[in-house]
Amino acid sequence: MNDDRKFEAFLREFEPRSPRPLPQAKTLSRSWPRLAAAAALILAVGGVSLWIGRHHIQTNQRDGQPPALSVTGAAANQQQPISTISLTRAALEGSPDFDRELDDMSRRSLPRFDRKDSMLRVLAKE
Amino acid sequence: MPEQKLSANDVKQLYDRHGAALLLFARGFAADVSAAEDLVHGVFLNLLRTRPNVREAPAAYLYRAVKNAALNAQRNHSREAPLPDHEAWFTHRGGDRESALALQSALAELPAEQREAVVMRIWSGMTLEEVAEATGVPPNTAASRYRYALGKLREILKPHAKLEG
Repeated sequence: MNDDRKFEAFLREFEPRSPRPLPQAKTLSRSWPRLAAAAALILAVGGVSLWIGRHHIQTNQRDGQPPALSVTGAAANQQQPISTISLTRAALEGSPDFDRELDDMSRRSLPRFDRKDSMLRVLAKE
Repeated sequence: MPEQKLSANDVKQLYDRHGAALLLFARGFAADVSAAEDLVHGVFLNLLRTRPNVREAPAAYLYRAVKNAALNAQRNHSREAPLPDHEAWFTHRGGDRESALALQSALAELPAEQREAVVMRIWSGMTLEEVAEATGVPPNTAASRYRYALGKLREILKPHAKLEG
C-alpha cells in the first residue's frame, strides 16, 4: 500500500501537456447587449436622418423654393417599399397578378422621364 | 448526486483543473495532439453554450463527454489515416525527459480501460467511485483496473522510479 502511494507520487511528478487556452465562446447571453446597442444606434441614426430630411423639405417649401429634383424613383421607393414577399408568393402561386406587380415595381424603381423635374429630362435638355 | 447547472466560471475552473488530463485521455483516441485538443475544446465550448444540468460528478461527466466526442469523430473520419504523434505527452518537474518518454510509452501500451483509470485517478485526482461513474462500471471493477494498470506501469518504469530504499 505504501509502495502504491510512493509510485502514485512518482507518477504525479509528470505533468501532462496543457491544452491551448479555451477559445472565447460567442454565447448569445454575452453578445446580446452589443446587438441591442447596435440596433438602437442604427434606429437612432435612421430616425435623426429622417427627421433632418423632412425638416429640410418643410423649410424649403415654407421658403417657396422648389423641391429638389427627383433623380430616380428611389424616394418613392422609400415611401412605398417593394414587397418581395407578395411578389415571391405571386410567382410561386403562378398568379396572373405577378406580371402586373412586376410592371408596377419596375415603374416605381426605374428612373422616370415623364415628370417635368426628372433628371433624365433635365439632362436631355442640356 | 443532485443535479447541478454549471456556470461559466465553473466551466473555466473545470478546464483549468482537468484540461491537461482530459487532453492526455483524448490522445488515447485521437490521431494527433491537435485532434485531441479539438475534442477537449469542443466539449468545453458546448458546455459554455448549452450549460446542461449535470447529474454526476463534473469530472466524470467531462470524461464521458470527451469519450463520446472521440467515438463520434472516429466514426465520421474512419477513412482518414492517422498522422504519427510526435508531441511529448508529459513534462517532468525535474526535467527528466527520458522518464517522461518511458511513461508515455508505458501508458500507450496499457489497455484503454486501464489507461483511463490511471489518467482519471492520477492526473484528475478523481476517486475510484468517480472513475467507476465516468467509465460506467462497478467501483470494484474500476479499482481492479486501476491496480492492474499501476502494477504494469511500476514494472515498466522500475528503472526510472527508484522507489526502493
